[in-house]
Amino acid sequence: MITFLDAATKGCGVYTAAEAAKYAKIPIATLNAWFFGTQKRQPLRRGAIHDDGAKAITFVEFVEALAIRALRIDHNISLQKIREAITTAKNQYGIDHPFAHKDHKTVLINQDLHIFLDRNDGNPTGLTGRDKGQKSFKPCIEAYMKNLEFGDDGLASLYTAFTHKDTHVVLKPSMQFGQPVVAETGYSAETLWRAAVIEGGFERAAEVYEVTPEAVEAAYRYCNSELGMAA
Amino acid sequence: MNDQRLRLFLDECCSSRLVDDLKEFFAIDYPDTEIMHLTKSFPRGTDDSVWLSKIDPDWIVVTQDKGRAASNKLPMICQEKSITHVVFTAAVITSGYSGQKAALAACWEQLFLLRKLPGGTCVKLGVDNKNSGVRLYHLRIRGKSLSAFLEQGE
Repeated sequence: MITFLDAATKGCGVYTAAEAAKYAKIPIATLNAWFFGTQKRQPLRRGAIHDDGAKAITFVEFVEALAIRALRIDHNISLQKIREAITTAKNQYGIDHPFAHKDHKTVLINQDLHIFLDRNDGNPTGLTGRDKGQKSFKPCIEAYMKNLEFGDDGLASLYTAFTHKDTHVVLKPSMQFGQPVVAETGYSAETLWRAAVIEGGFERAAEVYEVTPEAVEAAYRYCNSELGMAA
Repeated sequence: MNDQRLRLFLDECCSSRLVDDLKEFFAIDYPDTEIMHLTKSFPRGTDDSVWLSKIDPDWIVVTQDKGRAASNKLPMICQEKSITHVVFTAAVITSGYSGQKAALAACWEQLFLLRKLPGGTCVKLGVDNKNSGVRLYHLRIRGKSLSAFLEQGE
């Protein structure tokens, strides 16, 4: 358990529920239900940040939110099954982050979740369904873990959220507290988007912020199309 | 800090060009002024822990007010580290580069008084747009003007 401030200063990345929902393109009520539960349901997993009054998650949990969203929306996997996978990974295999670790990739076989127990594991083990606890030799789908880079500890350490003409908008927990940043500049995407809007164009914003017009354009397009920010 | 020395750390919400512009503008009257900018003074991709370790209560951090307390991470960290911080209000932020420059230049003398405040104080730098078209920039602490706050205390 860590505090909001610890998460911010120790490179864990910190996202309020509203920020995480915005960046992951999930309704805030859904994200809240997944990480903080509702009156009727326990959360899918408990977040690491515990602070009075602050609903916030870390970068690794944000990556897990992306994975859960992909499983729910792209593959129609039930929350019940996802919950079972998280619980089994933790209780039977001691794996805390089944959706954000490069050595413990969780994959889909038919409509069930399976996990690789270590880096050299050739075949995943069932977390849900009839193959639970057993190795599977069937072809699997990596439902998520796209655009991720991993740190020495195996956990996700960078997420590329958007690319435009070789300019990347990334989320990295140790940079700007995990906010989306135009990697080539160090400025947050929001700052460059605002500059483009206020200064009246990519060229002028680029001049004022001492970056390339392409960087401003990437930030503008990301905020516009991915975050729905209107000028 | 001696009386004529000001150390400003500008967050990435500010234009990096402000560093050179302000230094040039105040070069004669305030030659000892030190100004750092997050993206200009540190290599691209520098970890937060690195630049956070370079600022201490001797510095005044300039950042923006995001309005919602929970997402104002840098102001929260400044408060924790007893660093006095100036937050641009939304009106100053949306006035762009020239507005930010004008705001800091207009309040420059007052920035020297911030050292008299308790460490970690949050000072809002805002603007009043008068009907005559004149813009008046001001520093406020919990709704009080800086001078009133210094006179009356908390």
